[in-house]
Formats: sequence, C-alpha cells, structure tokens
Amino acid sequence: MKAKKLYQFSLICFLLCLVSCSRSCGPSRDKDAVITVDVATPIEALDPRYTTTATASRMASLIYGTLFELGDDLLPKPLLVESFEMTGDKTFKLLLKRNLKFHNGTPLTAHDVVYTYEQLKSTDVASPHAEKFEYVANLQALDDTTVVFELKQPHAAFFTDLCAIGIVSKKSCSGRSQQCRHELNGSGPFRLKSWDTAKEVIHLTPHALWFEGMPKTDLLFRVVRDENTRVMELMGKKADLTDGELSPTNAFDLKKQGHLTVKQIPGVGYTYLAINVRGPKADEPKDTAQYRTRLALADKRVRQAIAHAIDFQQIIDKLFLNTAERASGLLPKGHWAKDAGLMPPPFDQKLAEQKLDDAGFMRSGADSMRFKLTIATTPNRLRQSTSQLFADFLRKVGIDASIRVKDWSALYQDMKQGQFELFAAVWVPVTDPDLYHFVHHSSSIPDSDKAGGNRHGYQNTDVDRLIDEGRATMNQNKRIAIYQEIERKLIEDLPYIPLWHENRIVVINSEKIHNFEPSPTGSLNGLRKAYVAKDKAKH
Amino acid sequence: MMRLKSRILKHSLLKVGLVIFITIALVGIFGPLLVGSGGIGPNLSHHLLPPGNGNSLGFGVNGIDVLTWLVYGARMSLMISLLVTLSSIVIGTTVGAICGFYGGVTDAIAMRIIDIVLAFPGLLLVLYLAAVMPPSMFTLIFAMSATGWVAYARLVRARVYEIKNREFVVAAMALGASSFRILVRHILPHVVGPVIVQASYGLSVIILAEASLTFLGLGLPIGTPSWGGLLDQGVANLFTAPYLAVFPGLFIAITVLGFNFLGDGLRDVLDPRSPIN
Amino acid sequence: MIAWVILFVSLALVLLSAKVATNTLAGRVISLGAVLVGATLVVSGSLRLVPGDPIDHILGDQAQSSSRELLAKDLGLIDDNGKRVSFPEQYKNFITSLFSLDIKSFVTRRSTIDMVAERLPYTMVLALCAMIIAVMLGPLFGVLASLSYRRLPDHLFSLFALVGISVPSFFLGPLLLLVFAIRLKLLPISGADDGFFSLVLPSIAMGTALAAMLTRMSRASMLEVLSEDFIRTAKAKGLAPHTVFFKHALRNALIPVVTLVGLQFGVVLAGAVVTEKIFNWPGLGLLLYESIQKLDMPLVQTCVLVIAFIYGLINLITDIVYGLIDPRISIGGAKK
Repeated sequence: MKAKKLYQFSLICFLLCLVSCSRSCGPSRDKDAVITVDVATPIEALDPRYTTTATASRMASLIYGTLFELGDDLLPKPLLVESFEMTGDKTFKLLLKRNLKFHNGTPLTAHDVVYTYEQLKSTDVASPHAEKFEYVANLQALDDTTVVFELKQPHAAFFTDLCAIGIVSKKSCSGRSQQCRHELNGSGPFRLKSWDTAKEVIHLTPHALWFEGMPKTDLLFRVVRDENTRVMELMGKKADLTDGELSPTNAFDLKKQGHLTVKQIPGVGYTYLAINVRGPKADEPKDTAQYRTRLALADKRVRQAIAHAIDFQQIIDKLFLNTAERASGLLPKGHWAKDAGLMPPPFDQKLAEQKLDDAGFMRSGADSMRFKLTIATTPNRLRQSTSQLFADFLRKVGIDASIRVKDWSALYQDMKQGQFELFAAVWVPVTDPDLYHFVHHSSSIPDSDKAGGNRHGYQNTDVDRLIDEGRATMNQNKRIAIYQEIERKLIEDLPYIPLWHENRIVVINSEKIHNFEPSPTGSLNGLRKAYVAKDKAKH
Repeated sequence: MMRLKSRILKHSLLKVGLVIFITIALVGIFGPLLVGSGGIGPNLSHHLLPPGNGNSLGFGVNGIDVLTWLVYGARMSLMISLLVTLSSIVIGTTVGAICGFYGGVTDAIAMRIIDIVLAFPGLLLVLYLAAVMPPSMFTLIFAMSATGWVAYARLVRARVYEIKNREFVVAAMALGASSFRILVRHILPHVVGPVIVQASYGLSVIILAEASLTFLGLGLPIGTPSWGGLLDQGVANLFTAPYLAVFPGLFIAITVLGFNFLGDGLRDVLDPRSPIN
Repeated sequence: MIAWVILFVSLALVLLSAKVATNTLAGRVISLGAVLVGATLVVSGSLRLVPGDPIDHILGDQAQSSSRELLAKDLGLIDDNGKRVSFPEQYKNFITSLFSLDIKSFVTRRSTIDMVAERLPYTMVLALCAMIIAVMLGPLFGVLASLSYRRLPDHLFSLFALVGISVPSFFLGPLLLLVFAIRLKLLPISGADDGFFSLVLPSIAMGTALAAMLTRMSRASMLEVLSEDFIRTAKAKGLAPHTVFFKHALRNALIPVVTLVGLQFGVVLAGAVVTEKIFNWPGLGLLLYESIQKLDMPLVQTCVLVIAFIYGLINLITDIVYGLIDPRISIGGAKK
C-alpha cells in the first residue's frame, strides 16, 4: 500500500513540476518580425573598445556607429562623418552629420569622438585596441560637430582604422568605463533590448533615431556552440541566418531545404601557414632535432620546398568543396592593390625533394626522414583536419611532421617567445594592405613588453622600407605599386606560406528574410536594410 | 524452478560476455596485422566516401579508412582500459589492503583522500585533469587511474577488514605468521574475486569515458585511431555521412555490453555474496 | 606569512577531520566541509599546471603591456610589484575570494559566482527531470520485466536496458534530436525557451543510462526476491498475491535500487556537460565545457567546486533520507 501511494504521489509531483516548468522555464518569445542569427562563439563584449573576436566586433558595429565604414570594395566610406578635409598630409578635419543621437536620446557630438579615441589608452578604459591609434599625436573638438586629428606621420590607413571603433558617449562613460561598457549606450542602427547571459541570447531592437531611418526588424543573436545544433536550428526554422558559422559540407547539405538559400561570396580573410624563420637561438645545443629543424626553417629553399610539397588545391576541392580561393599573398583576388597575376608556388613533390636536397637536408636512405617538424593548430575541426593533411604531405617528401593541438592562448604564448615551428591561422578582415606592417614588419616582432603580429620573426630591410613607404604615401597608385612589390618579395621568401581566402558562406531563410546583402568582410551591417516578409512573420 | 532458470540465464550471460571480450581482444591483437596501417592516415581523394565500393566500410574525414580505425581502435581501447585497470588495481589494492588490515591513522587519512577524490562526481575530476594536461595517451591513463583506484581501494579495504577477523586468520596470527605473509597468503586470495568483477565493470566504464572525453576534445591526440575519435567524426558529420557514426557506435555498444555481462556473470560465479553494488 | 598559515590550517582540517565520528549529523556535516576544503586544495593546485596565459584570452593579441599588467594584478597572479606570487599566496587569494563570493572570470570580468548562479537552476532542473524519468521508468520497467519473465515485454524492456547502458549519450542525443525534433517535428531543437517541451529530449538523453541501469538492477533484484523462501512462505500463509508483491517483494527488491539512485545522481550530474553541449542547454555543464576551452581558470574552478558541493549536499540528504526509510541502517554504518 505504501509503495503504491508513494508512486502516485511522486507521479503527481512530477506532473506539477512539468506544469509549473512550462510557465516559468524561459520567456515566451516574440516571434514576429525578428531575425534570429546563430553564432558559434560566445560574445565576450559588445563595447567595441573591448571586443576581441570578429563576431563580437560585427555585432558591436550594429550597436555603436562608427565615423567611417567599409564598403564592399574594402574602401572606407563616411558614415557618421558628413565631410572631411585634409590640411597637409598629417592633419584631418572631420565634420560630423547633424542630429546624430545616442540610444538614450542625447546628441552625439565631436566631444564624444574626442573622448572615445583619446581615452582608449587611459587606465580607466584600458582598451586592448589602444595601440592601434598610437600614431595619433593630437585630437581636439573645434565645436560640436568638428573634430581635428593630427597624426605623428602620414598614415594612409587612417580612415580604415576608424571603421573599427564606434563612438561611445562621453556623458555615459567618463569616469565609469567599467559600468558603461555593459550599458551599451551607442548611436548605431540597433540598440540593446536585453542580454540574457545565462542563455547567451542577445536581443537588439531598432534605434528610433538612427539617421538613415529606423531598421525594420528586431535581431536575436543566439550562441550555439555545437555545429550540428546550428544546422538543425536552420532546418527547423528556429534560426534564420548564419554567416560563416558552418562548414562548407554542412552548409551545402542545407541547400536541400526548401526555405533555405545558401549564398557564397568571396571573403577577405587570409588563411596562412606561418613559419618560424628566426633560426636556432645562439645558446641552443647543436646536436638536437630542434636545432636542425630551426636551421632548416631559416633557409628559404626549405620553405619553398614545404610550399611545393602540399597539394593545397586538392584540399580546397575536397575539404572546402571549392569555397576558397588559392592565395598568393595577404591580399585577396579582388583587392584594389592586388596583382592578380601573382602565382603561388606550384604543387610539385619532385621539386620539393630537390630543393630540400639543395639546402643540404638529404635523406640518409630511401624512406628516412630529413628532419622533424611540429605543426601547431587550434582545436577548430576544419583547422585540425587541414593540419593533419599538411603533415601527411610533408611526410611524403621526407619531413617528419606531426601536429599538436593547443587552445589559442596557449598557442599565443608559445608564438610570442618564438617557441613554435609551423602554425596555421587566419587574418580577418584584410582591408587595408597596411596590415603588412603589423604582420611582417620587423618592428612588429612581439616580446614580453610589446604586442605584434610578426610572431614568425621575419626581418627583411627591403620589405621594411617598402612597408614604411606604403603607409606614408597617400597616392593610391603609388601604394598599389609598392604593395605589389612587397607581395612579389614575400612569395619568394615565404615567411608565410599563403594558403587560401575562404568564401563567406551565408545560409539564410529566404522565405522569411528579404533584402539582406552579406558583406565580404563578414559585416552584418546588411541587417540594417533587411526585413521580414509580412505573411511569414510567424514560423 | 525460477531459481534454476535464473542461474542458467546468468551463466549464459557470462558466456556471452566472454565471447565478446575474446572477439574484441582478437580483433585488437590480430586485426591490425591483417588490415595493415595504410588506412590510418589521410587519403584525401577518399574524403567522406560512403561504404559500398568493394569491401570498404566507408571513409571518414580526410579519407581515413573506417575498418582500419575500428580495428586499431579496438587495440587502443583495450590497451587503455587494461593499463588504467591494472594501475588502478595495483594502487587501489595496496592502499585498501593496508587500510583494511592495519586501520588506525593511516586508514583514516587514506579514507579522507578517497573521500576527496569521490567528492567529484563521475568524470568531473578526470575532465579537470585532462583539461589541464596536454592531450595524449599518458594524460588519459594518468587522469583515469588517479580517480579509478578509489573503487578498488574501498572494495579491498572492506573485504580485508571483514576477513581479518575470521578464524583462520586469527589462527595464523597465533601461530606467529608475519602480517605481510598473512595478508598476502591468506587474505588477498579472497579479494581477487570481487576485484575481477569490479575490473570487468571498470573496463566498460573506461571505454565510454574515453569516447566522451574525445567528444569534448580532451582525449587522444588527433589522428590516433580510436573508437571515440571515429564516433566523434561521425556525430560531427551526422547529416552528411551517417554511416560514420553507426559502426563505432555499434562496436562501443557491443563491447560495453560484453564487459557488463562479463561482470554480471563473474559476480555470480566468484562473488555470490556481494550486495548488488 | 598568513598565506602559509591558511594553507596549513586547511590541510590540518582535512586530515584531522578524518577522526570525526560520522554517525552523527554534525559529524557528517563537518566531514563534508573538510572534504570540500580538500577539493579546493586539489583544484587550486592544478592551476599551476596550466599551459598558456589566460590574460591573452581577454585582451586578445593586440594589447598593450600596461593593460595586461593591470589585469594580472586584478586577478591575483602578480603582486603590486609585478612579481608572480607563490602558491600559498595564490591559495590564500583563492580561498578568500571564494568565501567572499568575489571571484572574477578571466574572460568576461563578471563574478563567476554570478555566472554559476545564473546557470545552476537550469542544470538542476535538467538533472532533476532526468532523475525523475530514470527513477520512475527504470524500476517500473524492471519490475514489469520480471513479472513477465521471458515473454515479450521482458525482452523489450531488457533490450531498452542494454541499449541504454552501452550507447554513449553524445551519440544518443543527436539521434533523438534527428528523429523527434527534425523528422517528426514534435519537440524543440535546442535551448530552454519552450518551457516543459524543451526539457523532454535532454532529460531523456541524460536519464537513459541511469534508467537502463535501474531497469536491469530492479529486474534482477525482483527476480531474486520472488524466488526467495520467504515469499513462498508468505504465499503458503495464504496472503493475497498483491500484498505479497507490495509489502514484501517490492520493498526488499527496491532497497539496493534506492542506494544506487543516491550514488548515481553524481553520474547524472557529471553527464550534464555532454548533454548540455548537444542540446545547447544553458546550464552549468555547458559553462564548464566552455570555460575549459578558453582556459578561464577561475570559472572552471568555480564550476568544479560548485558541482562537488552540490553532489556532497545531495549525498548527505540522501543518506539522511535513507536512514529514515530503513531504520535498520544507521547513517554512519551504510556503505557509501
């Protein structure tokens, strides 16, 4: 009797649980006129001064207006700026549009611009992006709508750099940066409605006072880490859009779904294989395998051999299903500064073996290995697969390659200290070729005091000189010539082996969403103009 | 009638478990020799080719051969489970025997340490340790042994404590036998039964644990053939290559079942007095 | 030197409490506390083994050195002179921040306790539902199977039990999703937005292993009990069959099952990591997985310790309840 009663009692409890749960577990979603976007990585910050991932930066640009924005041709266009003048080659006078308003209704003035950029490196703000604007000597607001920037030397990429950091409100943030970065009072086309940090759902709603006119829909960003789940959400109409968050295989599989459209556009990311060209350290013992490897990698013939040994095109065909373009340098094919005729080293295993022999790293027997090599990679699945393939190709030409998987921060620590041999990664977005300064200039070699993108330790005085010229020249044609020269030198020297430029693959519920244009940089600014079809407002 | 019937059923469980165990062991030991290691590495032209052409069971990411991975995976799973079980038994039995026999402060402290390890439920501590060390077979074995010895320690401790007070032990002590001798010659043989039973269950747990850790990205280094790795690829490509998940899933399921049956059967044969534990 | 004292005191607490009698409630509580302190020692000490620098995660790779230093000071890894601190010092910082509930996540700079508190209810609800499903269905299936011994229902339930214990949950999960959420469109795909319905699939995925175990065990236990002498005696005494069943057989058969349930809650809890990742369930398991990926050590530590704490608490409660149900067994004497 007791047991029976116990059973009945618990059954009732269970049912009660269910009923109460259905009311309190999760808010009811407003399903009308909302575009749901799935992203793969969690959003660490939405204040553009603190974003460190590409996804977060893209979302930040929806919330915080920037002075300039990048067009599809990768050239900066004025956004919050009405017009500008240059006096000399180091001074810029920017005139802001009138009637710009923050989300809380207060006007956006030149003083906010000055506050934003001047305070980046202050201890109150401590933005990780402070160093980007190191070349700004002085900055002042002449009146409510005029800002004057004085640079230390001419800097061609100045407007492009301004596209990265939106304007924050001086009133909201002055003296209280750590609070205002969560309040998200921006001037962009969307404002924050809610951020559920437990469920990782960010709800943005149109900003009534956006100068171009209010956007037409709400946006819901959901962080979904598992790729299968993202795929299923798109299938099940729970998610409406993903930009670049699916592998090509899965994305193409979704073409079979009637309501989904898969769009592909050439991207501006640069996937590369970095080689530690520093050579062995002075105090390193000469008889170790590591010494031999470092010596090998410092020789450009060896690097060229590595490039010849791997069939990159086959990888692009099979793993990427042809959704990437073979790269020959930092700049993608359609870029204004690119020499479209520049060819990467061809796949030629015999040539690879010969160059290795020429460099003095002979095989001692038919199947023996010349030297060891470790390729470091992040846990990302596609990245791991490609690194495995690299290792396999290299083993075929006698290089004893193996891979090691490390999370990004552990990898970065190694890189800074020159403790790596090869690693594959991506620079995104590649907009102005001035990125070369951060990547290959000898002054960008990082150490314990200084950050820098030249982790591979490349030092070439000719290339340095060209890079310096390129950033200081304002003449577009001259810059084109300079950067093409740089790319020719780099394809010879190969401090990076250029891999490919991945296309942006966008999967969108085209029955529901109209007028969304994806951008080659991955920017989501197209959502400003998108709208939900009237009769499809409910799922 | 029922009692007899249930005894027979259990006995056949033992048989089934044994058959499965031996089959997997044979596959793991001789399979690689028959199949060869060619299919372990990438073969890009066969990337994600489904089964059907000739004798193949299909290909995975980068063109790895499913059959080869299944066979080498059997070897890997067996090796890891046996090594972990072995080290857990050695550590656990030693600690348990000393505690159960001598008691006192040593016992109290050891139990404390065991309690601390047990404060982390399931795979939590293994997860934490695996996250903190670089992925490799050593890490897996270390992490799983560091938590696995506890089950054996408690088991052995309880048994040794119980047996210690039995007549034949008391007699041996009265005759002047040294503690160590008593422990080893008289007590430990009685402990072997439960330990073997626990080991069978332990083996199945380890196989599932390895698969789960690989799924979470904390298992063996990439490119090492293993069932967990294959299943992980299968789940990642569930929509485009469903066959990739079926085979390792099946193998894991059957092996885990086999060890479970083995454990059940052995328990009835070797340790009929144990509470269902 | 306070740091050394604190370290010493913690170690002492852990070791000396071993002598505390555990058959009183107070004794058990002290035990639990000591064990958890031991757990914090384990967790804190492992931090020293971590490769990589978490500071690079937050600030990304283009940060100024002064920003980085500021952050490192904030996090207690270096002192005001920029020197790295020793382990006792680090442990002291850890323990004090733990007790004052003020640990900051490396990555998001929010209090880890807040983050954990946000997610904890979701995991608890999920684990509870999984347990309920397992506890309701497992023994039910097992008993039904034993009653229809060797006939079709027995085979079906046994099959369920076999599948449940041998298929890893990260395989079962996507399969369930594929069938129920996509093909049949019956249930939601992910997340916790749809109230009760979104709980169903994750609970099933998480509870199946335990349900299967309980089915097997109750079936075996019931079969054994039914064939025992005292049952035959009861029948011979002329007691009605259902009295025999409920009063004698079932209760005895279920004792070992109840023990198992208490133990296995931890396993269910630990399985949360995999299940939450698959179903995108915003719980503690997902938080733990994520923080491991990013090497967000304070958050990893907080999650691990909170899970251990809850597990310990549940065990304590289970033991008390168990002691109440079956007076023959006192709290301290039970085999854990």
